[in-house]
Amino acid sequence: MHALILDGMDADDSFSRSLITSLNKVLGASASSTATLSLRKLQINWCQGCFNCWVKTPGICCQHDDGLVVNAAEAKADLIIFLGQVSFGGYSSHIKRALDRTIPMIMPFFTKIDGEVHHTRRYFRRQSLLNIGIMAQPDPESTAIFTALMARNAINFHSQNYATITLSPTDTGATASLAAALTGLLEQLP
Amino acid sequence: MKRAALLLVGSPKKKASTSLVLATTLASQLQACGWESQVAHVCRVLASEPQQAQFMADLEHCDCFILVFPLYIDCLPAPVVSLLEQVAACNPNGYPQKKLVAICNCGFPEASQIDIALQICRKFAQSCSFNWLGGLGLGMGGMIDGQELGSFGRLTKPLQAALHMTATAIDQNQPIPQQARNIFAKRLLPRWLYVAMGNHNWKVLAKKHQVKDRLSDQPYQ
Repeated sequence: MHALILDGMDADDSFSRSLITSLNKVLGASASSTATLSLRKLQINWCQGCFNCWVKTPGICCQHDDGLVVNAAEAKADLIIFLGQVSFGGYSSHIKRALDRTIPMIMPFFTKIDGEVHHTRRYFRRQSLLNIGIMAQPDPESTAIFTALMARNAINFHSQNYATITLSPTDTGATASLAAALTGLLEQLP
Repeated sequence: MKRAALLLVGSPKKKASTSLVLATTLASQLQACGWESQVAHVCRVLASEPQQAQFMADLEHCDCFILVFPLYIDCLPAPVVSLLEQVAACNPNGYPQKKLVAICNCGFPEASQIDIALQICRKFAQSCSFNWLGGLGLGMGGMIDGQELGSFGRLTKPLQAALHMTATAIDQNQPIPQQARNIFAKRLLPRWLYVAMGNHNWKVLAKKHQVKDRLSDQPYQ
């Protein structure tokens, strides 16, 4: 099982380091490999909305920057972990910048899933997703929006095994909660 | 003194976009109500510090801030998030005298897929003490694709009417009427037709770029 951690935190602080350590500890026994990409160290331009990745260079973004590195890593992963701050209930711009550049990973064509139209998949690896949102203080409303967002994303990423957790540096049990969320997800892996 | 609206086009597209068309249409409607309207493009704003400073000054000056953006991965495009983060950080006291409206369009037929994006906009408004007047969600945005609303004849007349209702609501400091939201949420075409046209259109574009047989490429496999 290959795991990918997309670290979208603003800075390399002690709290995010403790979370990544906790993730690696849990993954240690289950994952054959774990890669961590610190998005703040990568050069990823905004998605231009040109759709070249669908109709000109299928599957590959025309912007030759580290967005391609992220795509290549995502394609190989069985488990993708997003770690970043929560902005107004959604992803922070660091994580979102990388997420917007995953459009090449799906197809342009439409299909119906549970009565709704979505894009068809390009790759058929079954992927699990863990979304970790960091907030300065616990905020139930932001957590609810963030959780609903991941549920929607999971449909578009064609993932049936996903989890969301929001944490704050003030949570004394943050690393334990994270370990439990990841363990639960790993138990559901196909 | 004239009241001022600042409309932020959140589409990263360099050419005309659905977001730009909706923003300029609403800007005209607001001008007809006696407002000054200014349209800013998110990527141009973020391109330099002087541009960002000018945007913040324009935001300080305006009475209503209007976000007009496409749905990206079920929420706001990253440049829009980045700018909103800056807006929030720039003024810890918030913007309690200013209104906020959001208009989002998506390429899926169902406008309901925009609900979370509008919740994020509402949360942003709350975080920065804006007076949230509400949001509009438009499905089948791929149909408009930068063309003037008037060029679709009767098909998009209701959208123009809904934007007029929205402009009136902003002018009267009222929430966006449910009728305007219902109009925007109503599908412009039967879903099956939009899906068929969309799927066909991608193949036409791929053929134009001579990659029709490579559409399903898996370059990272």
